[in-house]
Amino acid sequence: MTHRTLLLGTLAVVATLLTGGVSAAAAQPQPRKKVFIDQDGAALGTDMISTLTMLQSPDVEVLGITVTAGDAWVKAGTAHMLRMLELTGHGNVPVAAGAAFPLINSRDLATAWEAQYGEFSYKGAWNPGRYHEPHVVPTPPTGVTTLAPVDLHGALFMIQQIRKYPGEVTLWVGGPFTTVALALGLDPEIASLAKELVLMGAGFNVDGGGNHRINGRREFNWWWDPEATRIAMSAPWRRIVITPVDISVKTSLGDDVKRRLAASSSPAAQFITRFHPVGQNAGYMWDEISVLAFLDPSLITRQQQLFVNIDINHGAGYGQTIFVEDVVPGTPARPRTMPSWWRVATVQWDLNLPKFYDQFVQLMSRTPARR
Amino acid sequence: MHRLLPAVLFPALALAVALLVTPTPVAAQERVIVDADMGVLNDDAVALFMLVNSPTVEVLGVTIVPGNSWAEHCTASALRQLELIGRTDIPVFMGVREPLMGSRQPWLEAEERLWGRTEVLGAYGRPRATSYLALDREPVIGYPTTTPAAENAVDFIVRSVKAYPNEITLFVIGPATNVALAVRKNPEIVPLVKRVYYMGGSVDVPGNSTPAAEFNWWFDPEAARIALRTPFREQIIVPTDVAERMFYTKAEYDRIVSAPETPITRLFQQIHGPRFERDPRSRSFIWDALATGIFLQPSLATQLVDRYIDVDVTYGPNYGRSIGYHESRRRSFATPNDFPAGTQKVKVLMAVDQPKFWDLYIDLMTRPVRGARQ
Repeated sequence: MTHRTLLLGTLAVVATLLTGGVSAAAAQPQPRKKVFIDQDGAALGTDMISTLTMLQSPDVEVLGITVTAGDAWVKAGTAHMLRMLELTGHGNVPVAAGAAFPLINSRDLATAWEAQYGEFSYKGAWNPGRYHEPHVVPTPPTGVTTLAPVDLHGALFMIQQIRKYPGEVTLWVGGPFTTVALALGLDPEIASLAKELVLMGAGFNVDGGGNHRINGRREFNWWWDPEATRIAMSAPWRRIVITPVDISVKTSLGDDVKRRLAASSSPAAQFITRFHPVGQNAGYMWDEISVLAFLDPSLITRQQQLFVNIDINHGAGYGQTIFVEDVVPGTPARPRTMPSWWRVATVQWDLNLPKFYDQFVQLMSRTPARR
Repeated sequence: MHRLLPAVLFPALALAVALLVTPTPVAAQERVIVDADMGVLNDDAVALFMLVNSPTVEVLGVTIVPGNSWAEHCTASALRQLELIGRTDIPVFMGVREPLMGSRQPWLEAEERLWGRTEVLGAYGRPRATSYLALDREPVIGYPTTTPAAENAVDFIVRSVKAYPNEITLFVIGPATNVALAVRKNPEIVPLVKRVYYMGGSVDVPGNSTPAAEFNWWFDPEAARIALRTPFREQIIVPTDVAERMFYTKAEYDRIVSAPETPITRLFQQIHGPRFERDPRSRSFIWDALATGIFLQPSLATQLVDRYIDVDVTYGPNYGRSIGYHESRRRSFATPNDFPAGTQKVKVLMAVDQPKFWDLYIDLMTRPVRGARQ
């Protein structure tokens, strides 16, 4: 044991003594990873399933969840999140509603963009087929929750939890960055106080640069609020890990996986079986990859360090990922110098698919002990 | 010598008027090209008539640019009015058909949703026509029987400048699209142009198309920027700062139509008459006529200020906005590097002698059409 860990250990003991958590500390030989979740809240699909995946892990302590507008408006998204927690036995996890609208982007801007450059394939809460007013909460397909969110704005909740455990909290973001940007505006120090930023977002060369029905560089989470993404991605995080569209499109929640889950009686597996039946919704596992790779980094078979940010000019490229390698190629390669606001992120390119599906099924089939 | 011609041709009244308000004669014959978004007796037409009726000026041609209307509409207006005043010898050239970056008409509605309604829409308020002989509605003065020249306006400008090096004054009184293309295509003409007059920009005041931008520069911001950043020997700008402080009213109209009838005064009667009958207090601006006015009689310009000038081409609510850089604590005209790289120092008209201007305007509108062939 080094002096450093000895010191930290002593501090931890002092801290638990001060907070009266002696028995809890003693009952927990291996400290769980502290995670704060920021997610957008479509009733079905990756937002809910990925959050559930994180909650199912015995190695993780989810400190709280904030819901940000994106795939759904924030009121509806919060209701969906609470309902999912309620159905899967995670109703004790506190949820706070976060940002309701992007900082600058809007439905009108998107409409004007489309008038010039063509139709977006996906616009989240602005999607014409399912659009409703922001304050409306249509009856969710998963049912109406009996739970209530905490009485604190998501940005404040995020700050509170990151500050509570300096250097320990992984901020995992599966939706747009608006709530994070608000939190950073209120308390810029949370970037360096968090352990790391792990996120699903951005896109680079989907399908290895080949043609794809998705414009990989205009990834939805980042495009919904480009200015917030610029703020969040320019903050001084200790570490940033990105799960981009490039890797999302290699996965799907297909019938094979669903059949395996159908055999389980766990509330989590039953949530999927009930709302994502075999033969339907074989969507990409956008956010689940990010969660499982966080839990077991060995799932990722290829990744790269890149400077990553976003185009915030209001032209054809608004909301598109911009990036450059962190070294200048040559013999020998040398580190690239970039203006000070650029951050290097670890970008995941490829994964061990069989292992990914196995771990997903295993986690979701687990019935967590009541805490 | 030339200035006595009208007096010889026209007895007493014309002589009196000529003596009172004779334009300061320009030293030699001035050759001009009028690059305009011509309408029916709009300010472009009046500017053209002023030049046509000036004894010291030779109008080499009218080049058409879309702006107030589409190029097809403007071509019909130019040809037909030259027919009506008997000056079909002045050729009309069609040039570009759309702004440099293409027509924004398809998404103008979306643009307006974001940045508010545009006060002056010009061509964007009308459908494009397939031909100058097939407009969306028949022109009130009828379709022309003459035809535009085969040569493109841009090439005509280039050819003319080369044919008369250092002699040609360009009147850019619509969007600057043709001129931008000319200087980019044939940059060798730039030092050979004598001077350029623009009607455009709102330099120190809000715009008239949007709160940020004046119409001509709003319609084609990229072209305006290219033209204004061209190192022409002399550039003179008539912005709305001065142009929208002067009003053409029934008083001026009455002076024109009470003069002996000419094809021009007939047009005034036909086009403006009904308006003043409906509303004797009706008033309007004469933007482009100010550019030709100070050209014909430079002493009318009572305030011309130096500015480095630029146009905002960022596509946003300030698209097309004019930016006039004046001297300040950290900017001196003695050190051009104090100003944005690539911008040019131009003269901006800020005030005119209004009574004298109207005297010139009315004089030129009431003379028998110079060189008319009936």
